[in-house]
Amino acid sequence: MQALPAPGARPPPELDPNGRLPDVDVVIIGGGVNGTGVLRDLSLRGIKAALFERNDIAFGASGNSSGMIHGGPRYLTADPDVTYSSCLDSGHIQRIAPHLLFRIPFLMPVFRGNGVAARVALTAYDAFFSLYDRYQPLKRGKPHVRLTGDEIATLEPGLVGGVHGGVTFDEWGIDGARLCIANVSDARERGGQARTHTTVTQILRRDDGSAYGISYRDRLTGEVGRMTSRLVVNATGAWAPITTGLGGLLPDAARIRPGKGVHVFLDRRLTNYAIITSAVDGRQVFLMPWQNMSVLGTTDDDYYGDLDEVVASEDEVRYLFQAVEGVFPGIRSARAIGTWGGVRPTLWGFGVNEDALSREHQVVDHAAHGADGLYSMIGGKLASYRLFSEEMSDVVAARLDVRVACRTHVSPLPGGEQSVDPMRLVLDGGMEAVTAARLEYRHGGRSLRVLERMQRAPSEAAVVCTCEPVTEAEIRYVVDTELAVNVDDVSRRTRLGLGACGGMRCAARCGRIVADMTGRSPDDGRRMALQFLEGSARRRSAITGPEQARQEALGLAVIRAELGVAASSAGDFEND
Amino acid sequence: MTEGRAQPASVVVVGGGFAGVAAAWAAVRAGAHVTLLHASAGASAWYNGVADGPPLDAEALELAMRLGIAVSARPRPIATREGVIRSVIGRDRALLDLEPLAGLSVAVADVGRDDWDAALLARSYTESAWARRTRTEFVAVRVDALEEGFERRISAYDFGVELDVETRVHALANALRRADGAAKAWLLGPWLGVASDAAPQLAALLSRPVGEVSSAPGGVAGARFELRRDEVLRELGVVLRRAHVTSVESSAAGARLQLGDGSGLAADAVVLALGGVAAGGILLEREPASGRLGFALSLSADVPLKLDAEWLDAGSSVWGPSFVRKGLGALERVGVSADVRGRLSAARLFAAGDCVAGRPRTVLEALSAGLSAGRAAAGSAAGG
Repeated sequence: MQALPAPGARPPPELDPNGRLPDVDVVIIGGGVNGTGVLRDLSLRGIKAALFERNDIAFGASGNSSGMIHGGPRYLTADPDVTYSSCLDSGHIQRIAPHLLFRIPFLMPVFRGNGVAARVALTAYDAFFSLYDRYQPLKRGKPHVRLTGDEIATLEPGLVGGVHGGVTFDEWGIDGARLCIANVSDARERGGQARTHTTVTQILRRDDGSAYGISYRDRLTGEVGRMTSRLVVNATGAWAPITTGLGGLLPDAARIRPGKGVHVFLDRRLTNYAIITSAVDGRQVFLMPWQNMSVLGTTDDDYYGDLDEVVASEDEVRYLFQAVEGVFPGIRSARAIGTWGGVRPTLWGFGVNEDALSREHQVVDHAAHGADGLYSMIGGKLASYRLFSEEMSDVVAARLDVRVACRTHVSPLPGGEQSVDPMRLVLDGGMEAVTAARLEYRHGGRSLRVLERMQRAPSEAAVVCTCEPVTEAEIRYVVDTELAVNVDDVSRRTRLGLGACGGMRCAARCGRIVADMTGRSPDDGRRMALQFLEGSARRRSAITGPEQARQEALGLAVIRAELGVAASSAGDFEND
Repeated sequence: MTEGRAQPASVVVVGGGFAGVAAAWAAVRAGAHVTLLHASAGASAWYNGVADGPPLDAEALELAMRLGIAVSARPRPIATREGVIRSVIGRDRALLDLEPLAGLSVAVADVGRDDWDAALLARSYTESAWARRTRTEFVAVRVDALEEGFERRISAYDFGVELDVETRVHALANALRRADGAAKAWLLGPWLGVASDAAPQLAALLSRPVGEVSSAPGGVAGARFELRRDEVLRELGVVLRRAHVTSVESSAAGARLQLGDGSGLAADAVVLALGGVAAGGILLEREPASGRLGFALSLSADVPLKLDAEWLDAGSSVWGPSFVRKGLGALERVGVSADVRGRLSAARLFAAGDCVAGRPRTVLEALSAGLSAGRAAAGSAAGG
């Protein structure tokens, strides 16, 4: 699948068309898991790279996926090599970022309603997962277990509908946004550059068509500029065809079949296992415990709307609830507190159902389209990001004649280099146990740096977001070191405001802190907070049911009382 | 009982928020015998001490005062907990009135509580349009006011309860004096007592203005309202019962209520002051019979709901209203349709406050509407 440069491919020109040395070796467009993965890989090889992201790191599919670093059991029968490499890479990611991983034990129940078919299905699953067990050691997974209906009733009493039996199997999950942040942080510590909220406005090309950099515009300040490079990598996921258009190529030069996927999250852990069940159209969906909540997912539908405004629709939410309600009615008593929506950059295919499209990935060399030096990363999935980034970086290194091998599978990501006992944070920092555990999960060994801040300035130990919880020190840390410039950015990095209260208690305060640290006014801070609250309300509007309605109405009343009936969005004193 | 003297009319008020207490007040003053039924804390118990709404008449002003709300003729500036200076007509009297402090330097007490970043709040107040225009300055001042470590993290309400103890108020006054004896005025967090009036006590002890910012939901302002409400109702001789009403049937002859405990109650007139979606008076629920999701009154009564211009008696989707289309603001506009006096189409049935469709969800509006409805209910009962 990958496009290594043809033997004897010329290295790109040393100088830009004005005869000057380029600013960097490689410009990477896109701050998702692939873009940040390539930035890190190249930085580890000593290749000078700069990344440009239109929104925030992990804004798109990378930060809105179910976060599974799975071993690819779906490829087991057709292409076991893919399963092997997926499991191997899942194992690599566990070693470089152990703090970010969490075990997801899956349960696949078989229902009695199917009669003889149930026994056949159970035997088939059992055989299938016996085969998958052979790959489990590669990712420290446990072998599958075949369970009887009675055993499942004990383990998962909320399951109804006559369970005949089932199998369990083991996978790993990760916080996709934290993974992207870890990649960027590591790259920046090694000389890589990254600019967020900066959109690429043009891919610069020489008279012979070859790419030599980009021009950009900072979406917050309006500042415009250029950055020249020897190669350009388009890692913009679902935006890929739009990005190639910035270089004057036709959209089908980087053709994808965009597939929208949504998840709904619920206010509590409902199950012990991630339970797999079938939706009305036969697709598999799951209900998965995730930190202190449950995640219900996922859909897969062709999407041609605005990629900056991907929000779950009422149809998608109903589809997911309907799939689970029949077998796990307890879901009705839970309160939906938010949704994620992302668009997969699936490889193009015509005449196939969305679910059957390949999750494979591909490096497109646009020399074939007359744009030498420009590459697009197409397809892929979270679980294979490291491998995909390595393949892309190998192509870049070969073109630049840099003979340094990839080290991303052995060199730990920030936070993964040292393990920290959360109890130490409790004892040394006076944090509550849950605060310490969450901090350690997000930052691994780097949580000690947050602890240092609290020891220097004890007022920073204040818990700002009490739902998750998130301390002032962590907010200040991510603004200082992780490129966060508004409340949404902080939330993406820390989960601030994503808990049961939806940010009602913490968004404004977080906005004040961010505004203060970035030299902006308290009004700007309030605007950021409102923007965050409006965005999360929009993401909740498709799930507003009985349990959510009262809180939403109360939230509106609180905002009005805080800011005034006739208040402008800045909420200042204008009405006397 | 003297021959020929009519029994006083009986009015039942359902709901114990601002609208309910106002309806009870007006009905008693109109000569009715009033029972007030309330089930659980609603939006009034969650209010933050800020009372917006239309100007009040004399009777409403008197009631507002009894409920601890200071009402001014013109909007006056107060500080909110989110760093905003905004104008209000009515405010819980513990909130610091900033009007007389224009042009001065106001000390913001930094007591080291987790929910209170005094330095950034002071900056936010100072940079507000009002402070810039009046050249008012807010300065964070470190105050040693916490006596126990846990006081850093307990809720503002719990900390407010500690200030109900008189010695604690004196200790706080001393701490403020030690921190800055020259401060012109003190702005503190929303925890200056629940049952007590710690703010005026502090002001008297320090002989300068002392007050708090607006509360968070579930804070001291709502708790103070509940205490003052109970006192007002006691003085009026209103029978206050904690009960959930399941249905109201009314006719030209009178009304009958069914309560959650199975008992019934008869009345000459009923005022519904159930609150809107926020208070739980209007529910977004799945109707058990049809499985249909939609808005419904929290009790069974023959009154349809209205959202904007539409009656909600027939659904167009089994999954309920589309908030993607209508916006979440629909949650604040839905309610029963009542005339200016709070009269519903059903006989002897009145409504006031947030359960009425398309009315502003504000404290002073609820007070005014409650008074009209209470008066009208007592009148209809006496006249009928």
